[in-house]
Amino acid sequence: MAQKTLVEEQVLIQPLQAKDRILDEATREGLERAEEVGTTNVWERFETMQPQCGFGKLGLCCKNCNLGPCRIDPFGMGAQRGVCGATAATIVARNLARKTAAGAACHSDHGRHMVHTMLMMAEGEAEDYHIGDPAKLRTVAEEYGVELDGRDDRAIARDLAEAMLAEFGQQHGELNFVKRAPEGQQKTWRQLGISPRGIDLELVEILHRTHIGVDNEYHSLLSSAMRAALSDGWGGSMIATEVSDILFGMPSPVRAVINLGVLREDQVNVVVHGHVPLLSEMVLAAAQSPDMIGLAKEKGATGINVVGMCCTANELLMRQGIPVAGSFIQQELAIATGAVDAMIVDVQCIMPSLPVVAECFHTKVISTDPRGHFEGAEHIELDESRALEIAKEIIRRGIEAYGERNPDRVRIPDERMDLIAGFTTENIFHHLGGRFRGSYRPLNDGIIAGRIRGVAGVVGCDNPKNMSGSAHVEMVKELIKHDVAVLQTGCSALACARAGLMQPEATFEYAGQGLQEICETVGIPPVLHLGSCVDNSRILTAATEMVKEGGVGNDISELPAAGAAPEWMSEKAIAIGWYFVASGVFTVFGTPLNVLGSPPVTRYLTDELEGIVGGKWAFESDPVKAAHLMIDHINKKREALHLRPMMYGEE
Amino acid sequence: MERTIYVEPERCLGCSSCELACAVAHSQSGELFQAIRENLLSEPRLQVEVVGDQPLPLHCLHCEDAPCVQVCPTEAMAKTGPGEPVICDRERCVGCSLCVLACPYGVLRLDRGGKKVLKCDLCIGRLGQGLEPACAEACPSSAIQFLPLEEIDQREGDGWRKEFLIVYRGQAALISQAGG
Amino acid sequence: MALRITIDGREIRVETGTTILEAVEGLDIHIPTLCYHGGARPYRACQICRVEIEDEQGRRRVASACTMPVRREGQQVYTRSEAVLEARREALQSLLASHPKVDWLWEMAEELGVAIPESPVGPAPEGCILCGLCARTCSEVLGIEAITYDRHALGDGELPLRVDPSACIGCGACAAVCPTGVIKQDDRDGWRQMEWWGMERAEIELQRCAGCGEYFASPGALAQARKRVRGSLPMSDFCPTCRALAARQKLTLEIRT
Repeated sequence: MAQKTLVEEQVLIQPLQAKDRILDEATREGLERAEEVGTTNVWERFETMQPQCGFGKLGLCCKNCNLGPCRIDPFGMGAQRGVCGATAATIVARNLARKTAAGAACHSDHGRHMVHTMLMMAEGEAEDYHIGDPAKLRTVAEEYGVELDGRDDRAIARDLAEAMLAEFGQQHGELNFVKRAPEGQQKTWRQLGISPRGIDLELVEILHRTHIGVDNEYHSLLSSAMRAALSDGWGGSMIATEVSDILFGMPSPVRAVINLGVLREDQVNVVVHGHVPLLSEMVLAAAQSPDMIGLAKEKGATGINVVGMCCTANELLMRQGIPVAGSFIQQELAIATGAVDAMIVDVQCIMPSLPVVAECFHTKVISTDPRGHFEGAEHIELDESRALEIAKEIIRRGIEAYGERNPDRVRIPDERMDLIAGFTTENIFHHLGGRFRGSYRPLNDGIIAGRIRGVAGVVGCDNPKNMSGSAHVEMVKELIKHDVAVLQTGCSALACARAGLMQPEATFEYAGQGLQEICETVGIPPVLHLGSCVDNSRILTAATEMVKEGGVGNDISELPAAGAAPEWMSEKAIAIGWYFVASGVFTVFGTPLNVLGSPPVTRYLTDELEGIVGGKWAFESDPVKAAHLMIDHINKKREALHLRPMMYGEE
Repeated sequence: MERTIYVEPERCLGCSSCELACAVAHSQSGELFQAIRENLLSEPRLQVEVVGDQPLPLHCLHCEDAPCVQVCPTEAMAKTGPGEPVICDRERCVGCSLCVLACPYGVLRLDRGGKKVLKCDLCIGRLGQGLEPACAEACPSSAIQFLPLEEIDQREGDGWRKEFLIVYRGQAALISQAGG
Repeated sequence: MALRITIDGREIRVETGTTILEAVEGLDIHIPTLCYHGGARPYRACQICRVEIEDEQGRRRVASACTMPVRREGQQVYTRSEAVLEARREALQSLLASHPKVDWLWEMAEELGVAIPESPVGPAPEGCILCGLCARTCSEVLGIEAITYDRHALGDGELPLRVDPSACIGCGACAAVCPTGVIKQDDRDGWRQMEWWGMERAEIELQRCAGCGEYFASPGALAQARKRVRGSLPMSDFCPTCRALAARQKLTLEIRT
């Protein structure tokens, strides 16, 4: 007798893959080309990795000691404690604290690098760097108690650098920029004992606490995570932002172009990728020097096209209006166009696969930072004391590589989008009333009157798990449709810029009526690009300005505001999420933090925290639903402030 | 067989510990650190893959009237009796792949050497030593368990015994729907 | 009926009729083989598994372990006597004449001091040891008879192996059983390329999966599978991966809906 079987003939619906969720045309085309050429790419590696381990996703895996590796069975039948005795809550909280520290370390080390270079410049050891904004230098120096009267910029800069560097090694007290935060936040942090004491100290202490048999209690672990995040947001990142403004000038609104289509067939294409403007500004300067341009022309190019990727793109975009080739997730695709002659990288978010992709082409991948090495890349280390000279050497390598480019293998997707970037806390409303410091009055009045519902920060990375960038676009469209003004940074900003949301036209096409009116009056787009990921500190200071201006809440937690990272990838995003939550902001992440394996910890993060620091986490992968979580939260805050109902009705 | 494998899909977390344990159990050395350095690397007989969001290990079901046994030209694939596993005598396997084409669940494939088929043997070697199948022993969330038949009967009825030796939760209902 | 025999001085018990080669299975007595395959009847083609046996009168002679059955209580068997090694030398000389790609044969030849011609000599094509496993598998085991072995041709000094490429079902079993790798199967761009002994070729167009569109089977092999299964073969036009996907979808339906 024939066997009965489980399956019959059927039309199988093949499962969707990560690459099927790509909406950006350039990314789609770029990926098709990469597949044609047969090179590795992030979407293919993502599929190969499936299924990703559920213990990892739930945060229930611990590899901290050699009693392990351990994992807790979430279904209750296998191990319920690690070999050392740790429960799910302990393991989940320890893991989260370590990731927070790792993310904060990146931002703070970036800040340290900036400060160190400022010191070198001040002492005459790095002649290629200058004070780009003397006024900002003085403002910040004053906050650090540096004597200003009758002193020249260099002297002030040196003292400021020393004072900032000292904060990295500080062992007690409080970081200086904590004083910038609204009183309410400062009080909360001090009461909870989470006001950051010293930048490196907070990170080292987390490594200590998360070792086997130290801090095993989740409230304690997560408080130290918050403190470390605050040492980043109101510490390392803020220092990075301020010193970058001091050295390279404060950004002002600028028009630019984005997407893979900015690569040029007729020019030497040099991509700067990574995070630290100390490198990218020099590469740009080198590329703009007459001798380098001459060299390029000798090789038959019409010029040198410096374009950026990732955060360093944002830094150059904000200050120099440089074209942006793409975001984190597109980095391999840039090389796969066959048009990149040199990809110059420093630190963070740089895929180790780049040299492998480059092998299929003539592209030279050049690493420049002593902390960032790659197998298959050429290493030309940036020495700040000879920065321009080294940058020229790097450009020279790029021009040489241009000579090896095969024009028949070049396929640049014909996709380019205009955008406006360059907004800072200081300049959003700068041009109003002719005052030096912009005023947040129009924003606050708009919120009070019910034209603007509130403000949202939409930030972070792009991830094949979500929509390879398009979740940002869907979320932001939904927010501005409901009259929420959006501040953006990082790859999130780039995704929305690609979709045309940072053009003035976007106001009329996508924004709700109330938001439209304010944007028109003030002359700003509904979606504002505030810079790189360390520039999330600008969102903190902008929120603080809103509080100071008055009428929309006495501290950040009362503001009609919310934050989101719908496609987060990096540990840095965790640190950023934490410093917003700890500062009182409701923050939604696209995929959950690795905490769901412990229901008590999950409850603490998504519920109880609000009563403690005024902010809390939420997890929602559908970007439109997530936008509505934010809108509901903003509405709640409006009610609590007894603000007028929305002028153009509720939707 | 007094016990058999019972799979509860919703407990699978996709960690692939079962795959690893299966490969090690069928390696020359039988031990993880050496197994990964053997000349012809061992392979797991079961595979964990995702459907939608749910990962699932797919076992050979050790069908009572196994199509692989019906097509095997050398009788390498054989079942010693009802309620017993289907075992492939590797010595006899000629690598014709007819069983690969005959298996309705696609759980068979040639090994990486290309000469022999990879067939779950329900770890009869381990069973003989009083051990559980490697996958059941390794599964950290008890998605794969090695349970007494009576216990499975309580959950699934006993209709499954006519068709397969391995049981997935709810499988019995699916078969009666399918109709064969 | 169980018998006691002695192999290299070790006493073991075996069922009467078991071959000597089968008798040593699982013991740490090693008798080398090349053309032996558990799936096909033994054939004595390679002559490598020679051993020396002693009869009741104490007379010793050399025999092939793969086909010599044990029938006598107390039989003595030697696997490394001088006569065995001499027989092995002869076997190696003839095997290695076609330069098969089997490392351990060459190592054994070196150990035994066998001299091999520098370049291959016929009648077998280079690498083929005329074990006939391909023919035995294709004809006797599978009943396809695309590859046949004509013993008499060998006596005439001709190549005994014949293939009819048009009869090949593309199952690849011949390539799998060939101990020296001179039968090749290469799947490429939707075609299965079979090559026998560097002499004959076939190209078989593979079938695409009705689900994912990947090439997954030779139509002839698929037809054989369908023929041999009692009743119908569900999802036979789908590749194993898609079949597995369908099974998984069925098994997780309750959870996913």
